[in-house]
Amino acid sequence: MKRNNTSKYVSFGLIIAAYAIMMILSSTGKITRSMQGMLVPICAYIVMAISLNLTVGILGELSLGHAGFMSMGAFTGTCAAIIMTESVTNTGLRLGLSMVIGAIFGGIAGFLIGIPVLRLKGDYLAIVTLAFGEIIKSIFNNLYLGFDKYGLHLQLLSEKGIKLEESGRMLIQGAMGISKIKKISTFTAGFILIILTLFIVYHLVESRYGRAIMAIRDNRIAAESVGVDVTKYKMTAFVISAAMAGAAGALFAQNYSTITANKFDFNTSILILVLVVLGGLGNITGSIISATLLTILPEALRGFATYRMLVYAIVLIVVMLFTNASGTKIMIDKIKAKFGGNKEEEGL
Amino acid sequence: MAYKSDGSNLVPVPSNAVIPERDINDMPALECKNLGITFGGLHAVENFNLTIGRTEIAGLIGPNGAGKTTVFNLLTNVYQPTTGTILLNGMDTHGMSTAQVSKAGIGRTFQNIRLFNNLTVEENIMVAMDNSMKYGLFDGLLRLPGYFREEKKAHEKALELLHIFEMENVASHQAGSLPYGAQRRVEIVRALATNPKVLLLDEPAAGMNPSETADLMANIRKIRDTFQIAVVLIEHDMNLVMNVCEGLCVLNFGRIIAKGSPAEIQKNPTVIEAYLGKSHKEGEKQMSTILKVDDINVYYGSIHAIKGISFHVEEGEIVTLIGANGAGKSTTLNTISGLLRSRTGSITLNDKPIDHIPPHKVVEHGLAMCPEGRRIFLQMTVEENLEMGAFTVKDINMDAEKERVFDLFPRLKERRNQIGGTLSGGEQQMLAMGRALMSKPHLMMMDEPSMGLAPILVEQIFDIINSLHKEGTTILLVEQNAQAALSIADRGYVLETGKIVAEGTGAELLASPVIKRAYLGGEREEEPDKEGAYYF
Repeated sequence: MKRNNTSKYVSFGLIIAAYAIMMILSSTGKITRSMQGMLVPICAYIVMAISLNLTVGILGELSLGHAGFMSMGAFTGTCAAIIMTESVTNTGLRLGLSMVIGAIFGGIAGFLIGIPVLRLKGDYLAIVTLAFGEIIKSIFNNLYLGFDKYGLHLQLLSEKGIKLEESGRMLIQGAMGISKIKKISTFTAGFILIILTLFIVYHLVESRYGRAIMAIRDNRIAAESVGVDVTKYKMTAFVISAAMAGAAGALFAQNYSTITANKFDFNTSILILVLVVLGGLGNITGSIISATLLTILPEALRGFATYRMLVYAIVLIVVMLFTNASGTKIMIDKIKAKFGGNKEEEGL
Repeated sequence: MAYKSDGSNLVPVPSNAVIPERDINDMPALECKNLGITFGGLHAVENFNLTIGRTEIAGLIGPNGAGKTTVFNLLTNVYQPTTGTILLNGMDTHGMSTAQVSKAGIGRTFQNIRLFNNLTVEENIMVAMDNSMKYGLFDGLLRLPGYFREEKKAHEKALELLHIFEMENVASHQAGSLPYGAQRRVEIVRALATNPKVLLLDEPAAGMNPSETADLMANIRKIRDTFQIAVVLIEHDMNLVMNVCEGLCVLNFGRIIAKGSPAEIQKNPTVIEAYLGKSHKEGEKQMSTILKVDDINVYYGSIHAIKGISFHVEEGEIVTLIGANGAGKSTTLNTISGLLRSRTGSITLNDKPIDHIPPHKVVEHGLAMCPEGRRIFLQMTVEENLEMGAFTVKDINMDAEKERVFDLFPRLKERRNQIGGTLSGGEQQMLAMGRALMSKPHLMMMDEPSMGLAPILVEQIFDIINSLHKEGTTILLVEQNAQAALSIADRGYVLETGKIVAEGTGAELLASPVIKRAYLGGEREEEPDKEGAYYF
């Protein structure tokens, strides 16, 4: 179990060091504006990547609709924050509460979707999660939600039926999404969310729940044969993963003044999957690094102007080939054997 | 109907015969009544009646495809039986999930090892203790005292269980990286960690070397004595079966053909016939060498599967490789066809080396493979399947070849437009053979052509092989059905754990006591500590 511990300390160390460096840089004013703007999205994507890694890498089920859970958290969390604007004046606390609400709703969505989806296996499961992701997107694209002193007013397809008091306001306006959001997300909040996520994932993996989840991934039939209740553990992992995505969604949304459902479409789900695959399935540290790099990369490539996305794609292909080709793997193993030999001995 | 041997005769026994009559006064650990399952019309297991005493070691033996593993899958509710009941400690397990059956007290291992490869050995065992651990999700996430207490307890118990095989030193190793024999032992420990009342072991000695097997025998007894549980094992290693098991049950084609003590079973003529059979085969011819295999060594990761095998096939011959499951027969064929690579030695076909060319090129050199499990193209018609067989061959008259195959297999001609997947098992086997013949091979290799077929079809398939032989086709045949294979073969080689342990003409091998023992186990060896003693 030393193997887990090493990676755990590396993950925490990386995050804390990155946070410290960024705080120092920003306090001395040495950080560019575009970089400053990317800090919260990077945090959100790191949490998304860790959370999807729980489903794909640790539970071993391919999910193509992870952005749906993010969207769930983004909308519910942001609505909650707007409603709480007057009752909770402390922005940090309000953000925290909105992330908790986002996580709860994300978890509920995960549970509801998990009931039919987790009965399926492999490719079928992936396709159905894709469909659910799109369903969540469509729902928010057609949802109108208003709020006044009498409470919430909900209407599908059009806002005609919603009559609000003078002091009331529309929260979700269909495809226009939520506008006039107070930008209360901060880098520190993102940092705390990542640390919490890491705690949850590492503690899960090192508990009997995590062991059972990984056992299902490695060999479902054998897991059943030793009495592991496959559905229960799959659901546990899926709901935790969805809840973390919900929290990340709430953080992400409140970094912008407007948020629409189309922001969380299939492309976003795939992007998150790319982060996970690039970082390595089941490799949490890898997810953190790849989420950071791939969020910065498009910005860093601004100099290439129109060819930006092309260069981005090429970089992606090259990195994937480099990290996954058998030749490089053997090379990496050799390097590891040379420098990591002592560590292995220790584990015996 | 079940039978019991009475000296040389078989007499019907009441359906719940206990083998042996041990602990009969207590409630039996496991009772199967009229158990049966049908897969698409095929009776995989039928009328299976068996009672296992509380601390009995029982063996389930029989040829490949007899339904032994299916019985295990029925007992653990991986399959739901078509008929019959299973009573575990008197409790009907009908309708339970596999996980519930495990909680109720059946632990098992698998024929193809199923460890959690990416977890450590200790974690593998702790997963199996999951049901006895009493802390919830939040205790785990928040690391409350319950978490530490229960984890410590599980850790100590895991080490205690590993001590049975003296494997504490590998507790933190990744399970998938262990050698084969060690993986088998971890699987047994994992099954024990569920606190079973009945332990099912599916070929526990497969792939183990003789000294490991000897240890295993001692440990199976030790496990029974320490935990006071019943053990049921499926095994092809007759030395192990005859020495460890107190009662035996022989399956053939899904039915029990005999029950009794090892000594009784060894003398039972029906059993001898089902495993080996009658005898005889005419003379031999000798012409030019088609295939020459010289000192090949094949590894699956760390497993040394083929250990220096050499043999040859002459033109017009049927040569057969026989041996128990896991002896390396299919591996040998796959190495010849280029799917696997040997680390040493050479393979030549018509004096041309073929050991370094890709599999599809090997076909062009005149070698056709009729793979195990048939592997026909299920979505294509019979005719399209045949055309695929000649896919890589240039200058071929496709229609003429098809006609030639249809002459050999009139049944296929009737069904030429039928989709492959809708054919019966026997027809699929014919199609696989026909497809292999389409490329006009110099050498045709067949892997277990009789597997999963009813007796009557097995006979037909062997008749066809014989007629191909008379036509002049050179055939290398791998078979579990040693009797049938040797009775039509010119020569045969006997494989055991990756080595050739005997060779001779079909008739010689059939008559040889060595073969009988290899398949049916010998009397107890006088010097079991000598390595070679375990072979026969």
